[in-house]
Amino acid sequence: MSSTINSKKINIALVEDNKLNQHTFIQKISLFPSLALVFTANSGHQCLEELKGLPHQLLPKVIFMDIEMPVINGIETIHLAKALYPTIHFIILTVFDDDEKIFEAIKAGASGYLLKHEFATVINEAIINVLDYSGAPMSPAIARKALNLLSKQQLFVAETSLSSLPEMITNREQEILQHTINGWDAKRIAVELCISVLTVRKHIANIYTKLHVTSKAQIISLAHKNHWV
Amino acid sequence: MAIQLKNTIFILLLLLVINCNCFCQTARIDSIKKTLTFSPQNEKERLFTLFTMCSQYNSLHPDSLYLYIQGAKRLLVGNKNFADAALVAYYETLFYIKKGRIDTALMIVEKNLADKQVLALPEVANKFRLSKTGILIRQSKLKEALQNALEILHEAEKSNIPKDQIKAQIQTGWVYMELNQNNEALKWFFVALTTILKEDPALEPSLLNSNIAAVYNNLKKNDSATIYINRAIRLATQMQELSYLCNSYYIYADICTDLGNISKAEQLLKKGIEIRKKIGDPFYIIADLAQLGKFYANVKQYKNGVKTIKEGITIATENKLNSKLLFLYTTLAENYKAANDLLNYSNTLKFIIELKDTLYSQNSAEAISDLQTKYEVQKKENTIIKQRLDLVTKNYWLYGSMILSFFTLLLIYNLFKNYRKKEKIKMEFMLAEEKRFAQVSIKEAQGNERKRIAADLHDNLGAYAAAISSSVDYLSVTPTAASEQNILEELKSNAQQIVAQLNDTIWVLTKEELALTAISDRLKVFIQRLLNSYPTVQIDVMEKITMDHLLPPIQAFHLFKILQEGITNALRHSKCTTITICIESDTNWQVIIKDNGNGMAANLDTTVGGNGLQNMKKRSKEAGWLISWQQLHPKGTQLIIVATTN
Repeated sequence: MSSTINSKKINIALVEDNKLNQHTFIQKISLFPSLALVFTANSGHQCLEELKGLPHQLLPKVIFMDIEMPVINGIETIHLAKALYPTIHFIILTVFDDDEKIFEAIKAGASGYLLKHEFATVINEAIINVLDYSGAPMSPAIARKALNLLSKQQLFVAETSLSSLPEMITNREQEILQHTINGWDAKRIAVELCISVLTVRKHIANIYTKLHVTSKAQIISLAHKNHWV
Repeated sequence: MAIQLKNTIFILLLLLVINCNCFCQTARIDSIKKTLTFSPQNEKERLFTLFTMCSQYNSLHPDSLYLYIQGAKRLLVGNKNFADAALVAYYETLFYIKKGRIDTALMIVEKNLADKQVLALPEVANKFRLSKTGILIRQSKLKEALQNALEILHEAEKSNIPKDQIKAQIQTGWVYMELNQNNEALKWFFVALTTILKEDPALEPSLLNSNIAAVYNNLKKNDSATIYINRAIRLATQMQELSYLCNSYYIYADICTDLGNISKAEQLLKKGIEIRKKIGDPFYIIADLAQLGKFYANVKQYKNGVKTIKEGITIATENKLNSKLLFLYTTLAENYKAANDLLNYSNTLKFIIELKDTLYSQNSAEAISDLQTKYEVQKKENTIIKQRLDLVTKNYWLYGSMILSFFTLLLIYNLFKNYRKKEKIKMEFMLAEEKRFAQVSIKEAQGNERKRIAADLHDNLGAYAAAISSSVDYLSVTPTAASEQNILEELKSNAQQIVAQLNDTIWVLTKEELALTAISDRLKVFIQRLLNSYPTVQIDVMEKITMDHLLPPIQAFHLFKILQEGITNALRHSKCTTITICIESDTNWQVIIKDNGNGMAANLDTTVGGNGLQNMKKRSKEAGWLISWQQLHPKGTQLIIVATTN
């Protein structure tokens, strides 16, 4: 693990309480010299401690976060860390794809998820996706949940006439989500809607932002109460 | 009508006289005057306005006050409202006090306090009582004044009238101030301040602050005195109370003199005198003259000092305002002493001693302290009585609630006991039946689930694990470069399959039920992964789901596996270019997989690594569905799975 500053390297970090999974992950990323692992943490609390002690230039750009951990789980850690360090991207690591938990993690601030058994190339690709496009491609299940949630919020805004609130979801975003639910990738959606792939990815990035619902005051208060920060 | 006309003419004449003779001392008085002069009002409104004007007595000349009182009196002719008449009498009292005719004022007060109708109006009665205290202080009857003030305080506390409590507390402090018992005076003034802060800070009067300042000045604590006198001046200016403003200037002048700021002291005294001339009241004129005399003594203008004091003594004697005599003579003595006029100085001292003896016999310290003790005892007795009453009330509630609760519980218990007896027999029988049935069902379900997991793991994971073992074995025996690469690729693929199969199994095991849409979404992920290997094939998933269905985990797994198998078969064997999966769901559901490949005959074989068509049929049968394959024209195959149960 290199902690030296290198402008060409991408700083990443891992939060995982299982030693074997830690070892496997480190082994996979060692294949990519462009990635620099700045720290490994066994818990959400340790992750926050590590971040507190890092100078700004050494902060990781992407943190891979296990969901199931003792004391504070991955979702709560992302809530806290995203409020304190909004520029860091989080990718959930999970053994099996529990859509409910993954969606909760996305709402907390995660930009995507990976299964723990994914190959190294998939991990590298995920990092590039989140850094270039602020979010990994959405799975159909997550897209469905996102469309349901944002549409309900849109309806609430319309019914209560809170015109000062911004639109929850645009028509274009709804279209893109619907095609994602159908199982189309960004390339196929771009062809269908006569827009570029980059535009499709940007819309998906906007949708991620709208899903990142954080209650900063509550979570920071909780963190101070429990001495997590 | 005639009376009303007369009253109106009188009021107009009154206003004309006042306007000619008086100028507006304050903006508030000016405003009230304009209302009287220009606003159309009926008799009741006009009377109210006149009372409002009278309430500004502190800033009115006695003669002006008199005219307004007369105006109010005329409006009351024929009016049977007793409270209004009492209020007029109260203002008359204040007029006589301002004129220095305190005997007349006292007579009016005693007459009203003997009237039962007045006593029935606590706030009006307290006004008279408070006036009486002021009169007694002016007459230097300090013991009686203290007694009166403490009685008012006691009544005001009983009736819970904070305004009158505060006034009584201030008056008590005033008595102690007149007795030169400064610490005691200060204590009472701060009691008043505490009451104000507790009840309503807006009630804070300028008079209280100027009294506190005067006491601090007597104690030579001029810093504190300055703070309070500035506050008093601010409040008096704000409330437009000229009399209190004037008092404050005089006290401030005294403070400035002590601090050596003579020019400021002189300025303040002159300001005070100007105001005093507008509003009269001999009691305060005497106090002002005494103050001025003291000032002249300090600045060594002895002749002026003696002249001023003698003027004060004359007014005090004429108006029988004895309370200031001691202060006047003491200041006179200071002037004589400073002027080195020893004869007059010693004569004045003798007179002071005689005066003190007279005052002491009227106001002995023991008698005054007795009064205060009596008040404290009365207050404590009231508190004890109130607490006892509260305690008794609480006890009644407590015992009553306890008895009621006991009987209620007893009744509920008996009813419940009977009900339970009947239900017990019924329940025992039902429980026995349910237990037996549940045991049988659980045993059967557990057995089935274990068999299913075992079968799946055996068929799928077991196969891959065996393949990996075999490949590793082969590598160890035959190490050639080309075959090694192939074996490694195979190992990788088999390992991937193990993980994927495990993933799918865990996916269903962790859920109590799964929706068709969830199965559809998982299928789409599976398809996306396959597409990398089949770039020329277009696969679409269409959903026509009006009503989503929830399947138990076993059925969800079967459906997912059937669809996986169907799609894999079409990709591997049919040489198709398009595959469409259509999931339709309403009251019932069905799934159709269509391809444009070679047709049924080409893909009837089992696939490597899976159970093929037999597996699909077996899974459908186990789930209770219908599965069928149809040949499409001109080419292609259609696989249909229909739920017959659900």
